[in-house]
Amino acid sequence: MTAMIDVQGFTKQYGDFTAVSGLSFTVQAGEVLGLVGPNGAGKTTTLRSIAGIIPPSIGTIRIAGHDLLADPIGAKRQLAFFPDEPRLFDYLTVRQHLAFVARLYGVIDHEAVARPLLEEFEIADKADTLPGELSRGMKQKLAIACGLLHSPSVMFFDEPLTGLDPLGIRRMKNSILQRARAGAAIVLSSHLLHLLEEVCTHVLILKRGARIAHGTLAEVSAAFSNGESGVSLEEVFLRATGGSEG
Amino acid sequence: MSNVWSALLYLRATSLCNSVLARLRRLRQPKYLIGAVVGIAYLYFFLLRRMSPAFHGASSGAPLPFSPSMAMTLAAAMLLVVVALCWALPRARAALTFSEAEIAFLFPAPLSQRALVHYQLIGSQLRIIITALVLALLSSRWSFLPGHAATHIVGWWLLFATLSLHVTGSSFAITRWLDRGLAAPRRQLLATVIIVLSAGAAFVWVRQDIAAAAGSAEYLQRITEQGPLYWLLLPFRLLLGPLFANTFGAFLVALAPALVIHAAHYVWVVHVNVALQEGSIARAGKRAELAAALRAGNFRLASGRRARRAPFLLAPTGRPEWAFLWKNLLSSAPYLTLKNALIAAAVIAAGCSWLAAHPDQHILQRMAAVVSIAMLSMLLLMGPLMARQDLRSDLLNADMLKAYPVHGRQVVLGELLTPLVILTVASWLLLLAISLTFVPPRLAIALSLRWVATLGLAAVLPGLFAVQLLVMNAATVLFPAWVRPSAQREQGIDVMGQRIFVTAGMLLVLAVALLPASILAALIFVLAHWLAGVHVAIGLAALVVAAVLVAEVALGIEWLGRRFEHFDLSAELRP
Repeated sequence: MTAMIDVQGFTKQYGDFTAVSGLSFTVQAGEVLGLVGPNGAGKTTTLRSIAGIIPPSIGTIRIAGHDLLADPIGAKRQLAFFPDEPRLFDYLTVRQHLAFVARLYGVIDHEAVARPLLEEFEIADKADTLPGELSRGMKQKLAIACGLLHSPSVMFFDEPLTGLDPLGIRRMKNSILQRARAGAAIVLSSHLLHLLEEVCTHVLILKRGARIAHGTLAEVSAAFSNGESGVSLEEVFLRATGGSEG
Repeated sequence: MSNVWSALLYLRATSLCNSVLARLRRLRQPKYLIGAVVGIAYLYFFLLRRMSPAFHGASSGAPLPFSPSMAMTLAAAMLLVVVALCWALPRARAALTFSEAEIAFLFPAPLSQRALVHYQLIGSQLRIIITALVLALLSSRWSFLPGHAATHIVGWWLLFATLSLHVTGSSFAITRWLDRGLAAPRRQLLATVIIVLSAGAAFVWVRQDIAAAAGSAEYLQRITEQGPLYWLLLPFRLLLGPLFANTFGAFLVALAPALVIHAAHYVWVVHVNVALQEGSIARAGKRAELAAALRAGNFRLASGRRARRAPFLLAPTGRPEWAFLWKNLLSSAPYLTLKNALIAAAVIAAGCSWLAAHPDQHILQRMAAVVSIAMLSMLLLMGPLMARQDLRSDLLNADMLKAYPVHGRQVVLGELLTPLVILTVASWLLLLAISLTFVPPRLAIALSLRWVATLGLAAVLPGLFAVQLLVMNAATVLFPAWVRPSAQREQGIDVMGQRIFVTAGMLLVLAVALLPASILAALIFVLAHWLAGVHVAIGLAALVVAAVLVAEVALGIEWLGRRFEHFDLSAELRP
């Protein structure tokens, strides 16, 4: 089976500084990979690179079979990237955001697709509202609705729960699981380890730009449990990273 | 020194120090170093060198038609107006200017209001001192301002520091009145009535008691050096005394009353007890939003945001460039619509045709032509700097734009379209006015030839704008740290150098772009003129210029698109 996300030998350098070094991993359809690591471990750099925002210094990245460097348009049609801070256009209403994104991705029936999305995220009554009048959580929901409009098969979430209220957090978790069950390959970066335990099928731990551990939750837990049973992901994370900065 | 004071001073000093260090570290990149060199060269050649005696001897400017005492009177009158406006104009609640971070850290901290006021006053001093230094450099050459650069520095500082205190103090006092039940309209009405009554009384006194003088300067001197106007202007004259002192002794004599006025303002501001947190928080939020909007060239947002109707129906499929045009048109002023452009064209055509048909109105016609030519020239030079609904306004969204399934060249072209359309339509309207009103002196040109020339120029103008817009957007992608999307406006010598650098680069690129177009057009013109006459020659030459410019812009977009695809804002903004 072809991996939906296939990263091989990915390295990212900024001048003399190496942010990520020789990273390789794959994500299959239906899998949710949690990207964890201390601050400065290279999580956001990795996410931005595999989303096609910044080019890798070395390595190949394939999204749904498309090489991100050779065929960036084909690859980007399959993916959606959700940054930690919702990036919205100040002067476009909720509805106009969706119309703009629909045009870029060629979503012909975007109004029919958008309606249930707006209802799912409870912003249907804000369709003619500018982002400046929305709360932080609503902006986040709009950014996610825009990303889901073209039904991506690959999704990248950077700290997806930031700014959401408890109900919003629950809905977001359900939404991620629902998309994964429908066959999407998802990578999410978060410091909220309980979220990863609830949502992720796999976990990738980074430290100083290098891979410390990768596998299913059970495999990674086993690798760092020292024979103990019922070790939490938080404990695994602390043992794996030594509890220090990236 | 108390802990509070040392903490506040530490914050100010380390913020300033780190800001300077970050700028210096940025100079390790050659492109920013070039900006700094250009900025320093500009400062030296246009400010510092002018202070040297050699320069003074080489270019002594013509003296202004008023004496130092007259200049002082005029300056005092201007200060009076400024102070009157402080009390009469609508004002929000009292507020000090804090950043959002300062509010987050300082407002919940165990600090007295007086400490916050002092912190703000210390912060404003750097700006005031720099302003005083720059103005002293300039004013040391003004013939109507006697004295020396050193006395000017102190004079300017006293003036601006006291004015700054007055603006703050008046806002505090107005807020206290508001809190005590004096509504804003009543306060403005009261201030306006006092100003009008004072002006009326002064007018009556001048008409009754002051005899007419031979010259207007002498007359002005008479009415401001006696009676009520003398007393009204006295505090302002005292404040301006050190600035206008012609000897060091006179400066010292003038310094004492000016310092008393300054000290009185300081005591007033520090001891007024008014709740300023609410206003300061609102101002900080607005400043952050306003700065972001202005930086993005989004003057509509800066003046109050409202959703705008879509400029046209955006179909779900088609070229992505139109989606960018549609999006960026939504950010422009709501009156910039096709319907309004057509109405403006009809009004211009009707008005200018009427003027042209009435020879008795030839002065108005000439004025309309001169104004239109001046405006078109301004638009050509300044328009691309001001119309920023392109990558300059979308820098903050670069990550998002790069995640879309579109090529870099499509993003660049799409982003260029909105300012290009706005500038082109505006220039065509002005060109229409010029073609209907401009009559070349001592040259009779056939109507048909005028229209061919007009249409030819209309074809060339979009290309000229496109070249300039391309340079501005290339500068954004190549030097993003100079247009970084922070709430604070970027300042500094390197940023000043960059602006000079980009403007000079824009003019240079425009000249280079026009060179092959002009050579080719000249050849075509000569050939076509020989074969088919002047009408065809002008038309063909204009089309050739337009075509060459379009080809050059297309190549530029392709190159910039590739640069955009490899653009990493986070790497660029690393200090």
